[in-house]
Amino acid sequence: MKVYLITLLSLASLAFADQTDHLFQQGVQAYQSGDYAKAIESFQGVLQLGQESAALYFNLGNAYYKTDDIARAIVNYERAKRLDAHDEDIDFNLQIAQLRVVDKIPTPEMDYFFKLWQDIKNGISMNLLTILALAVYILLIVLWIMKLFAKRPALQNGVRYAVTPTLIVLLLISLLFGLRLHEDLTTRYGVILAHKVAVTSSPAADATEVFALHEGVKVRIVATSGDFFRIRLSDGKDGWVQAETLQII
Amino acid sequence: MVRLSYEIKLLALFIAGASAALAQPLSVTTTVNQTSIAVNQQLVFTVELTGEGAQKVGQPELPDMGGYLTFLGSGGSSQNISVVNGKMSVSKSFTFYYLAAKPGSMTIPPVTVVYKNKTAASQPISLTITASAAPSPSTQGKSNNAQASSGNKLYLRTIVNKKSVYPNEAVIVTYRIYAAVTISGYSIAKLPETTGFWVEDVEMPQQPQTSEQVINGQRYVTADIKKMTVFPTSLGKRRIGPLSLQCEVKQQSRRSRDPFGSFFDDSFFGRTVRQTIASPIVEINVKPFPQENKPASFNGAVGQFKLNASIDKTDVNTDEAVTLKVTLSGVGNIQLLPKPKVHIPADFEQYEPTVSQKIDRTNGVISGAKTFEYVLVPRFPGEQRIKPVTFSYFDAKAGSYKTLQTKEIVINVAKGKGQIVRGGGSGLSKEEVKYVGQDIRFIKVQSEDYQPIGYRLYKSFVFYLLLIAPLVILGVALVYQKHLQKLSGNVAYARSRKANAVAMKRLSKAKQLLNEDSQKEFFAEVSNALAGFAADKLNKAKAGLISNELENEFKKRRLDQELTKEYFDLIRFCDLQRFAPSSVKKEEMQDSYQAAKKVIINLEKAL
Repeated sequence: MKVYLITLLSLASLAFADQTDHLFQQGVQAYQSGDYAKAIESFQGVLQLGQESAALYFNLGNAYYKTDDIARAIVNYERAKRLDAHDEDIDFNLQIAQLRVVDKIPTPEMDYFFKLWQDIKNGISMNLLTILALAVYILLIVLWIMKLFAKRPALQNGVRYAVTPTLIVLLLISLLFGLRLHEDLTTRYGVILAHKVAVTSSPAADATEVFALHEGVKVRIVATSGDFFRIRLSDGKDGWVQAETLQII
Repeated sequence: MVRLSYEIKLLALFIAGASAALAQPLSVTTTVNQTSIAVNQQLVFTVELTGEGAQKVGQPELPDMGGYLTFLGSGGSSQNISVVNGKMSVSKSFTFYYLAAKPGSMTIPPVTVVYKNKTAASQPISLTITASAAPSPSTQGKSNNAQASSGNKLYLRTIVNKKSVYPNEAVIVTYRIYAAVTISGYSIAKLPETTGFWVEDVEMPQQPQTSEQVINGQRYVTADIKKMTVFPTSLGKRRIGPLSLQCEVKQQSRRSRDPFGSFFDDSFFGRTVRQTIASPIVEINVKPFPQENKPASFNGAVGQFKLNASIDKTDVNTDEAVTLKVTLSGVGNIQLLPKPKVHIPADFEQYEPTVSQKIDRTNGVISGAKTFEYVLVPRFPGEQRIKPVTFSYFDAKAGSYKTLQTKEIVINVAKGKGQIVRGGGSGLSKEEVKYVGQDIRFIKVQSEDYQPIGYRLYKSFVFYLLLIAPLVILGVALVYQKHLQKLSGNVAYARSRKANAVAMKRLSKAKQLLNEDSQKEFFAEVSNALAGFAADKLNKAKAGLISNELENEFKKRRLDQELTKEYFDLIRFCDLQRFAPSSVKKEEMQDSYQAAKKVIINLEKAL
């Protein structure tokens, strides 16, 4: 029974994989022939199948960029970056797309160590970090069990020396994992989709405008109220916008 | 009023300094146009200053006329500079208009002027005012009501439609002539002074419309000479000055003739007399706006208005101009209407609006429209919204504030040909400059690492399994290890752990015996150390340890054959020397000792 179920599942996912690959290749071909609208449609089709990947988001970002939809391009590059923090192409294209954003939000100067910390913290995708944390954790437990049953003094000594560093590494990695987990669960970012958005002082349609933002600006969402998001910019400016005017990354 | 030309001014400047010493001292002369006038006639009073400083002294203070003359107004000043034989003379004259108020003889007091601590005074002028039988106007006091001057045959009235108004509220001022005599012509001698008012003149027909009116039994022909609409610009009691009118009055030989038929007839017959009449001064009280319910957008407009805002096209490309037209129309001071509040999004390039107006002054009611045209150039594509335009005014009739609001205007901006350039311009960082002009990198042609959207390992079952399972295994291992310890018993465990220590102790005793040369005891001790060590390690009784059993045990633990052989050889040799002693060299004993030590260390490692 069990075996049967697993076979069924894997068969289904195989068919799925076939379909995603097909759509992906279709998108790639459309992109190569310059039909960006078609490319977008195909890549979106993969997403509609419930599958995502860094390459898919990257391609989608490119296709949107080519159709001058900078905001959606940035959304997709950011999503790609979330899945693969180390792809240079993603960073490069994101930078180019950001050049076309009207508003330039000044980022506060970061000192060297803070920047280094940010790089370390965000330099690994969440899933990879999870795998790493699990691996170190399992290693520590294995070492512990070995220590219990090791009869040979050489082995016993070796295990004894390995346990402490592993424990320290696990603690550090868990700390990082905890921070990222918290961020992943509580912090949301969005990109302004509308060509122009009035950021107001309160979550109401007739509230006074504090400042205006244009498409492509990445904002942090700090609160929600009804149909409104409270957003904060990297330079500390803050206000409310209508939820429909931005897309969550 | 002589206008000083530019050249003369220059000349005056040039000469003034150089010939200051030559200039004559300041003197004041006053003149009147006639020394004998009738009541209600106009008197022109001129003050002339000559000599040094004449042009620098301001308007002299007017003397007190003691109620005989009523001040009508100032006729301005004129200046005259002449140079004769190198001598310069400067003179400046001021003209004032008065109206003879009551009969009698009076003296116009001297006018004094002070310049550089020197005082100059004019000569007094004596004046005779006769109670004239000739036509008399109505300037006396509050002569707004015609009854006050029922005896007069010719007078002017100032008619205002309201006397208490708000700033910028229209007041229609009409100057109406009342004549019981025949007038062959008239001309306005002096326009009324209207300081503190915005004036809109109302055009009058060339020939005034006349009508008849009987006041206190006297028939009058009336005509509106002048009409204007004034808007007070400041608060408080404001005066509208008199209008003075010069009339040609026909002296009639036969009084009984009906005067109305020939009101403006220019008769060749009969004598005409020139007579100046003036209207009374009217005071208007300008009250402040009520503070209650005053809208924030109120900017001082008074009247009744309509507001309209329109755009010439709602679908444009970027960098294509659109025109926003905001029109205010209605009744009120159109010319001074403030700009309505227009919020133009920052995404538009905008210019100062051009203002055009159309004013209709029919019957003194000032109405019309004022249009503000804003040229806007959208810089970014998208739906741009121009918020409703608001305008507040005070409706003086209703006595309340009104606020007008237009509809929101939506403009759909499509992307034009031009590239959109980031606003704020220069702010490209060094990092960013690297990317300018570059194209994006090409897409990825392969994608392998698919995952379900939003997949997070930490949210999956596998994560929790991998988190908990090792802990469970560890727990089981801990329990199992405890169990093993119990099974093998504490004695065996203790013996096994102490085996090495006991063997070493025996060996050290053997070393002592070696030094004492007690051969037998030495070998006994070494043999005991070797056998005891194995027994302790394997938790067996030493006495009952048969070499066969031990050999099997060693085999089970896969002990090195050589080591096993070495061990047993050594024991056998020791036992032989112990029970059947032969003469053994000290060196041999030393070797046995070293070998035993080595075997024990090796066994410790292996077992």
